[in-house]
This record gives sequence, structure tokens and C-alpha cells, in this order.
Amino acid sequence: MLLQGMRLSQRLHKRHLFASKILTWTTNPAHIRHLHDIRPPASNFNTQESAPIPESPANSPTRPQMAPKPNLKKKNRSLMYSIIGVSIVGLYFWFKSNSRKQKLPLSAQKVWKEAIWQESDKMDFNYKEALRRYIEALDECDRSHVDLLSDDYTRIELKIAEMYEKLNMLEEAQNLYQELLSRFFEALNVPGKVDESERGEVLRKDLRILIKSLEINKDIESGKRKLLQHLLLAQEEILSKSPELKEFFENRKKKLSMVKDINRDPNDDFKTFVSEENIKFDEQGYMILDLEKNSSAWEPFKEEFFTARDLYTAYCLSSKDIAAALSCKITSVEWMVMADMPPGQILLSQANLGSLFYLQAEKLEADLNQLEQKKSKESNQELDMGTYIKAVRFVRKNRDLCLERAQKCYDSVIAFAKRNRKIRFHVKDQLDPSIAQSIALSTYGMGVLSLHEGVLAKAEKLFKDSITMAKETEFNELLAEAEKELEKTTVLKAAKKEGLN
Amino acid sequence: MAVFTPPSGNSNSTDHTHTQDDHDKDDNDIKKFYIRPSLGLKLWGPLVPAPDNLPGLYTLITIQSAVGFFALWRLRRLYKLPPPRRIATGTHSDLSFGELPSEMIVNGKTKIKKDIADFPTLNRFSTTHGDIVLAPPPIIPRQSRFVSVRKLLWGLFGSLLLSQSLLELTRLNFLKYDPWCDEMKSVRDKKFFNNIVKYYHEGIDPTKIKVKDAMNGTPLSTNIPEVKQSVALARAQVEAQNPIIKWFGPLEYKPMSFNEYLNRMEFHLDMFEFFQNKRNIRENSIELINSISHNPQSSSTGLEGLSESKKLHLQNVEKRLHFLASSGDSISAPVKKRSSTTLSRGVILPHDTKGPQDIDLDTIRSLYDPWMTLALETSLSIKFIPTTMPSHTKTPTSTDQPLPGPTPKALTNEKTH
Repeated sequence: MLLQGMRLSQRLHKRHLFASKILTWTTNPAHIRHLHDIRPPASNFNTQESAPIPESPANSPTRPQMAPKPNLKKKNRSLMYSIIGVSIVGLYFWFKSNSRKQKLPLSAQKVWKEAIWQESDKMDFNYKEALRRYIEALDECDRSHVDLLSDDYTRIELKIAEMYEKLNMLEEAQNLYQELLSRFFEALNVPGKVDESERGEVLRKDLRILIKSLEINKDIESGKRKLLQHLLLAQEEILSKSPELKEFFENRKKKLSMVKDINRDPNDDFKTFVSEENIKFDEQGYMILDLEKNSSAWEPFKEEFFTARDLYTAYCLSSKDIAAALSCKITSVEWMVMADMPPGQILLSQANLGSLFYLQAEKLEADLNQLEQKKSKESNQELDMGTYIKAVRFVRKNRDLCLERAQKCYDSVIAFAKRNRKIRFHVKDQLDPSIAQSIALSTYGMGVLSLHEGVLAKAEKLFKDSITMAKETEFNELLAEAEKELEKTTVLKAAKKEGLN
Repeated sequence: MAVFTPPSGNSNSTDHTHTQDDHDKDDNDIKKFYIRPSLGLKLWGPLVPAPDNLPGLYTLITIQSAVGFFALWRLRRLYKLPPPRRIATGTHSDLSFGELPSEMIVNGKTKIKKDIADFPTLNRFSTTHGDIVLAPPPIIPRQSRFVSVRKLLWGLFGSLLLSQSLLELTRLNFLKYDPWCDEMKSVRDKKFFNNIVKYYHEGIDPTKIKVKDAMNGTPLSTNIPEVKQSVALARAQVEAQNPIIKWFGPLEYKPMSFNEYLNRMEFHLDMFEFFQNKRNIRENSIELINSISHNPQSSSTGLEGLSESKKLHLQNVEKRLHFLASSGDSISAPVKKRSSTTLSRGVILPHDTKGPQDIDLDTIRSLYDPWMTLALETSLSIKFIPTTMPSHTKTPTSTDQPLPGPTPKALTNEKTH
């Protein structure tokens, strides 16, 4: 305090001194200017004058300490204030961006804990009691108006559904899933209900619940309808972020119109997607994802999206609508490449597409048989031979096309595996079992195609190969089918031999 | 940031059958590092964090704004010139000017008092001594220019920094869709997947890592695929947690150009508006139908109706539970069957948990997240297996079964063990 007071008085004194000097030396500016004019070149003057300058601090040692110290303090203070201010603004924005995470009321948290306790090994997995507690927790949340779409609220609901499933109350579980699903769907459809930046996550949850509810649901038609609705929503979301997808739709439109216009062979359009162009390898020859490919538009729900699409394909198949299943799957494979899905999934999808083409060919063949039967029945009556021949020719052409494409699909997978040593010789070592499964499935598919063509020896070999592969990868569904087909082949072979003899 | 050498150039080569030498050479090549994109943090150069690293971005914005404020504060100080002592400007270069022995203010300008005898041209014929006041000629004009340049510099510097900070803040807070941020997130996910693949195939060095069963502590062989998977996952997680990776994201990531960023944003805005309009129209038409059908209650009391239906539903549940309890064993058989087919595991609490109050809700919630369980249950692998039928009319066989681990998502199963 004393020191400060002294400084202040010194400062005042100094000011006073300056003022008195000004009073004494009322000067004529013109005079000064004149002096300036007559002075020697500046540099010279400078050198002469520079001498006393360093001395000056020595003459007045108190001065530097006098003035800067309070200033320094002031400086520090305002610097501090500005930093504090800026950090407050920064923190405000930081919290604002995090503030959407709602905390559960304490009462609900307490009941939730009790529910976990009941559900755990400590209480011997008492699901009934846990279910009661979870329902209670949900009530607590309702009472304090927790956001119905918030993470915790839906978590409790999912837990309740899980308890229902564990207690084998599937109907209740299904109802709960339906309720959740319709809530999410509505939220996604009403503008402004879900924050734009959170749409992806909400969609992901929506799709998960959809798939889950379809697993329990057995009604094909309603399942299909729901799948279409939700998939369309997801598709819109992707389309709103991906210029590539828009380009895809435009290209398809163009292609369709071209096919209509010129009626050219659509064979050229079909291409398979399993190739080194679309699947990246690391230095050691293992398949990895391409970091440079921008597939962010498909995030974060791409896994669920493609599972749902596959489910839709399966539903179409179940309702015998192979054409719809086929077109859905063709698009799926192409989109999977765009979305940069794990390579194993792409391989498997391509193999599945081959299967679908084969099924379509089979269906066309059945149509062909029907036509022939019809012809033989109505042969004595008047039959428009022109339209008949046209129809037969058309169906046959399409069938051959489908068979060819099926072969292309399977072949692309097998050839791809053969080209790459790591897949060829280390199939079992692959992290993703779907890689090995897709190769086994393709080999089997080729066998089925050979059997269809009547090349029995080749079919037999292929079936045997696929059986070993299926055994290695524990692909039991395929194993069973392949063994059946192998049996058929051997029977046919024996019959053929007998026929020859 | 680092010394960079261009990449080997054949990143998308079709030849995957590298020889061992090739492989070694590739490893020695340091991949090129691309500066992370930002709108207002460009001055930080290679220090700019990944676009999804919010704490990093906010830290840099805070520092940048603080420096900007400091610069403006300096500017304000300069406007207060001339101070009683020019030392007040604080820099050392001024000190030499400011320390002239006699200095004073005339008409707001600093003047210097000098002995006439000091001027060689003036005291040639004079022996008188006397003070003369003059402006320090070589100093003042130069200094004032210097001050104005400094004012300009500080002003420019400060406002530049602050405007840049503001720009970046705007981007972080008012953009609902940020292509860079989304891209980064997806790249991180992909890198995580690639790392799992890499570490899985690298295998486990048994001299370095010993694997024990979590339940009974018996050592496991390191060649079991599940063990390899878990270790690969753990290693990938460790790498993702690496502070450098956390700050910059995967180092080889190449962000999209600013042009593409703008294009994508524009595209999104257009498309989003289009879909939003579509939804609005749909919504309006639904409301119209509701109003026509004179059922305003259904929309306004939707929430109450929901809670009421829930109450009813819960009563039913109580009844069912009661029924379950009374019917006893006859029901329990299918229950067991069902639970064994589902993937979800029972909750196992730590040994020292004595009661519900000891449960750490956050840990349990993250370990047994119902959303994660649902994700695992819904990760299906659907295969279509064709069969030839002797009658030439074939039916498809489709199998859908839960697949335990092909996707990164499904792999996270291991993480929670």
C-alpha cells in the first residue's frame, strides 16, 4: 500500500513537472520546422544523437519502474478477463452441444437399479420381478415427463421387451416393439421432431426395432409393407446426403429409357461387383475397407439398412415374387459397394444374387413347361401359333439370360477368391466367416448350374468341394443341401450309366 | 508436423501378391499426412484436429479467440498514445526512444528539449547555452508511422483471429450437417475395422500376451479364433484411444476438398428441403383428414391416450404374470428354450455388489446396453440356397440366422465380455 502510494505521488509530481515545462516553453512551431529543415542528413544526425540515448535510463533509474508496473498489472488483468470470457463462451457452446443428453430422474434410476439387481445372477435371474421393476421405472419416467425418444427411456422399454421374451410372452413383446416402432416412425416423419443431426442415429434404432419385430412377426404381407415404408425413409436420408446415390438413380432412369427406346440386348448392362476395383486389399493381401471412398452418407445405419433390404428380399421370395426379390438384390449389391460394406458381405451378396438368378431361371423354366403343357392340351384346338412361339422364345431367352447371369455371379466370387492368394489358401483364417461361406455357396451354386445343364461329373466335383468347404466353416444349412444334391447327382449318374448300358 | 514422403503411389494396385521385399519397402514408406480441414482454424496448420474432435476444436478456438482479444486489446492501448511515458507501450524497441532525457508534450505531440550548444550548426558562433525545444526529428515521424503500422497490424491480426474463430464456431454450432465431420466418423469406423482385420491376421505373440479365461483363470491357447478376435479388437481399441489418433483421426485419411464440401452441403440443403416439404405435405394431409373426420381428440390427447393404453396393458401384464406364477412349471420349459436361442446374456454383477444401491448404473448400462443387445440380435446373415428339384419346379430355401461376428458391429460383442 505504502509503495503504491509513493508511486502515485511520484507520478503526480512528474505530471506536474511536465505541465510546468510546457508553460515555460511556449514554442513557435515554425521555428521547430525551420530547425528541421536546416539539420544535416537524418542518418548523420541520428548517429550523433544516438550517443546520449542509452545513457538516459541511467539518468533516471526510477522511471521505468514507475510507469509500467501498474500497466503490467492492468494488462495481465484484462488479458485474464478476455481469456475467461472466451472460455466461458467456448464452454457455453460446448455444453450446448452436449445438453441434449437428458438425465433420468433419481427415482427412476433407483427403480432401474433394483430391476438390474433382480435380473442379475445375484437374484438368480428373477425376470418376473425384474419386469415389474422395469415397468415401475418406466412409470417414474412418465411421471417426470422424460423424452419418449431419449436413450434411457427406450432402453427401459427394450429391457421390458427383453423380459417379455425371456418369459415367453411374445405377444406383449411384439406389441411393445410395435409401439416403439410407430413412435420412431412418426418422429422421423414429422418435421422438426428429431434434430437433423440426430436423424441417422434415430433411423438406426428404428431399423433395429423393425428387424427385431419382424423376427417375431410372422405375417408376411404386413412385414413387407412395413419394410418398404421404413426402407424408403432410410433411403431418403441417404439420398439427402449422397450425390452419388442421386447419380445412381439418374443413371438407372437413363438406362431404362434407353432399353425401352432401342430395345437392345440388356445383357451388356449386367456386371458383377466382386472385383479388385471395388474391394481393397492391405499390404498383406487381406481385404479391408477403403478409407478414401466417401461412404459417410450411409452411416451410421448401413448394416441395419442392408439387413432390412435382405429381409425384404427374403419376404419377396416367400411370397413367390422372385422378380421383385431379384431387382431388390441387384440394387443391394451395387449399393453395398457404394456404401463400402465389409468385403465379406459384398461377396456373400453377390453369391446370393447368383442364387436368385438361378431361382428366376427355374421359375421361367416352369413357365415354359406350363406353356408346353398348355400347347399339348390345346393342340387340337385353335392355338395362335404366332403368339405361342413368341412367348416361348421370350421366356426361353430370359431363362438363358438368368442362367448366364447366375453363372456370372458365382463365377465372379470364385474367380476373385482364386486370384487372391490369401483368400485362396487361407479361407479358414479369415476373420469374417461370410467370406468362406460365400465361396462355398458359389461353388455349390456352380454345381447346381452344372446339374441343371446335365454335366454330372462336374456337378459332382463341385458339390464335393462345397461340402468340404461347408464343413470347414460350419455352414450347416449349405452342408445339408449339398449332400442332398450330391445324392441326386450320383443317382442321376447311375441312371445315365444304366441307360447307356 | 512430421517429415513426409509421398506414398508409394500404387495404393490401389491390383497386384496383391506382394513379395516379402515389396512388403518391407511399403512399411518403410511413411504415408503422407494431410492437414485436417477447417473453416477458421487454418492458421494452426497441421495442428488442426480431426473435424469430429469437438474438444480439440473448441480448445483451439478458445486459444485463438484469446489471442485475438489480446491483439485487439493491444490495439486499444496503442490508440491511447501518447502516454505520459512511451514506455507504456511496453516494447523494448521503444525504450530507447522513450528514455530521452528531456521529453515533453506540446499540443499533444512529444517534443524534445535540447541544449543549443549540442547543435553544431547553431552554436558555431555562440558561446551561449540555452535550451531549445524541438521535435525529435528522426524519431517522431518514423515512430508515428511505426505506431500506425503497428495499429494496423494488431487490428488486422486481432480481427482476423476473432473472425476466424467466429467462423469455426458457426460451423460447429449452426450446421446440422457437416460433411467433413461425417466423413471423419466413417473413416474412424473403417479404420477400426481394418485394424481388427490387421491385428487378427497378425496373430498373438504368445511371449507377449497371455490369455486367461475370465471365469476361472485357466490359460487359453492363443490360436483359438475367438481369442484372436478379442485380442485384435482390444488392440484396435487401444489404437483408436491413442491421443494422436484421437486428435487427428487415422493419419492416412485424406479429407475432401473445400469445393466438394460446399457441393455436398448445397446438395444436402436442397434435398433436405425437398424431403421436408414432402413430409410437411403428408403431415398436413393427415391433419386435414383428421379434422374432416371430426376426431380432434385423437391427435391432441395422443400422449394421454398412449399412457392410458399403457396402463391397461400393464394391468394385463400383471394378470399374465400372475397366471405364469400359478401355472408354474408347465410354462418354464419353453422359457428356457427360448432364452437359450437368443443372444442376450444374463446380467452378471461384480462379486462385491451387496444390493441394488451398490450398482453403478452407468457401467451396467454401457456393459449391457439394450440397444447393443438389439444390434447383435438383429445382425442377420441371410443366404439363399437354390436347389434343383426333380420335377423341375423348384422352391427356394432361404435361411436367416444370427451370425456371430462378421461385421464390426457384431464384433463389439466381444468387447463387453
